[in-house]
Amino acid sequence: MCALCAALGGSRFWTDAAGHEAFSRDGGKLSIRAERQERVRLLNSIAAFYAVSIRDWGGSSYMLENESGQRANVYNLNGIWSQLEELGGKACDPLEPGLLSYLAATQGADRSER
Amino acid sequence: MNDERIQCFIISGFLGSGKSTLLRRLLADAGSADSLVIVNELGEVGLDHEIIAFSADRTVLLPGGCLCCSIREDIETTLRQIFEDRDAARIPAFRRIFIEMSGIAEPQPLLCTLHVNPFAATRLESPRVFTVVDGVLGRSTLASAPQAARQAIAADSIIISKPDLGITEDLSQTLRQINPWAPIHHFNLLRQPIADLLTLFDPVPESQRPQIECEVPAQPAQSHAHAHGVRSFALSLDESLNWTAFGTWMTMLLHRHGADILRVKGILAIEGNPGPVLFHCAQHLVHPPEHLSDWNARPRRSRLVFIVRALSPALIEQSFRTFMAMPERTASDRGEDGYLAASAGGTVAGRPIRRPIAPRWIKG
Repeated sequence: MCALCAALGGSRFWTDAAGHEAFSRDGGKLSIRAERQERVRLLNSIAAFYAVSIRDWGGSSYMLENESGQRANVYNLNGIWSQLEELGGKACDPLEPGLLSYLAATQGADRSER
Repeated sequence: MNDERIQCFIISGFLGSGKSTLLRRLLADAGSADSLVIVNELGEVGLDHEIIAFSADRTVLLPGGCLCCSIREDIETTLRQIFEDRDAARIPAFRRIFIEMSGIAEPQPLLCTLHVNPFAATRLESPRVFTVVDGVLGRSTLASAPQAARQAIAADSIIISKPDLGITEDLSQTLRQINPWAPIHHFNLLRQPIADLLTLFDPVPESQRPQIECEVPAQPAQSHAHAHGVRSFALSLDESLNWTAFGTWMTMLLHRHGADILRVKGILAIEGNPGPVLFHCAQHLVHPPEHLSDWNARPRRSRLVFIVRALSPALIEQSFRTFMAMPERTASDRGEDGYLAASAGGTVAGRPIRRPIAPRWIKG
């Protein structure tokens, strides 16, 4: 628990760069909000394959929601994958050819738009 | 109590490989006088305990057999006891701990325990694994016993015992293929002066890290499977990595395939960071990323070396490159709504819940 804001899940995860002195972006500090925003954008690109959306809830946890409105609240990336499997109804495997084809296709579509 | 970190060495090796002989010789050296030994006793007869009975006053036997089965509670109790005794001056203030594992134990559960245990995390240096491999029987043991292969994979240093009795070139090659990082030392545990080995137990200066450069196929498709389907390969990327994308990919990979990702070591060039970041994980255990100040004349490029079991290196490479290309696409999505205000509340498992609001300055 964060002692300042009383929000649960204040503990660090190895993927967290913001707040880590050794991590920087071109000499400047990383903002927790910006990092989480970027993470959520990336996660939504993947979660769309499972028909699930992810939002940063209050800057301290993530809210997953599927198309039928089922929700789950998790605190870090480890928790996200198991909940994504539950809400999406299939295994989250980064080696699944279907997922890789989907990501490659959406990347190609985005490039052609630009 | 002081802030001095205590060195921790795990002595691993298959049955009869020479672990106890190594430990006995290390402890006989005057430089090891301030060492504490934790011995795992397998079965009813504590043969190993008898062998190192000369240091019985500092030897802690873990009850219950193999370290891998019941280690968590045992090692926690043991660590708490030895640190309480040390702080209360009931035992000498040791500066090193040797943990001798049983011959059929895999180091990984012990490493996990030491990683999460608060005593180990705050009082010990990062543990280093020394695996002893029998120079005569090692090759056949590696092929037939999965534990022996995992002991070699987990090693930070490998010592081939009985080199005078066996033909060790093939053994070295096999070991190099399943653990490309660990330096291999040929050492006759009975005859050679122990001084030749003692330097292995000195602290590793930063200039000698990372031990990432190693002989593995530059192209994942060229890697070959060895015993038990284990193979090693390397991935490299010239462009700087997006750390968020890397963390997303790696957590997803470990979530699904962690049991078969036996070890990963990497030196990463991260966007916006001048120095390299060292990444190291073993199965589901990810060590905190380590930052080095500069590249020390190495080319600035990311390189990851994998040891995997029953996974396709080509598929891992395709997945890695696909995920690392994602930030380019999402960079155009700035401003997209992905934030749910804490005050908005929500429902989890059908129950309405509301979170406390974090001040704006904390959110960044």
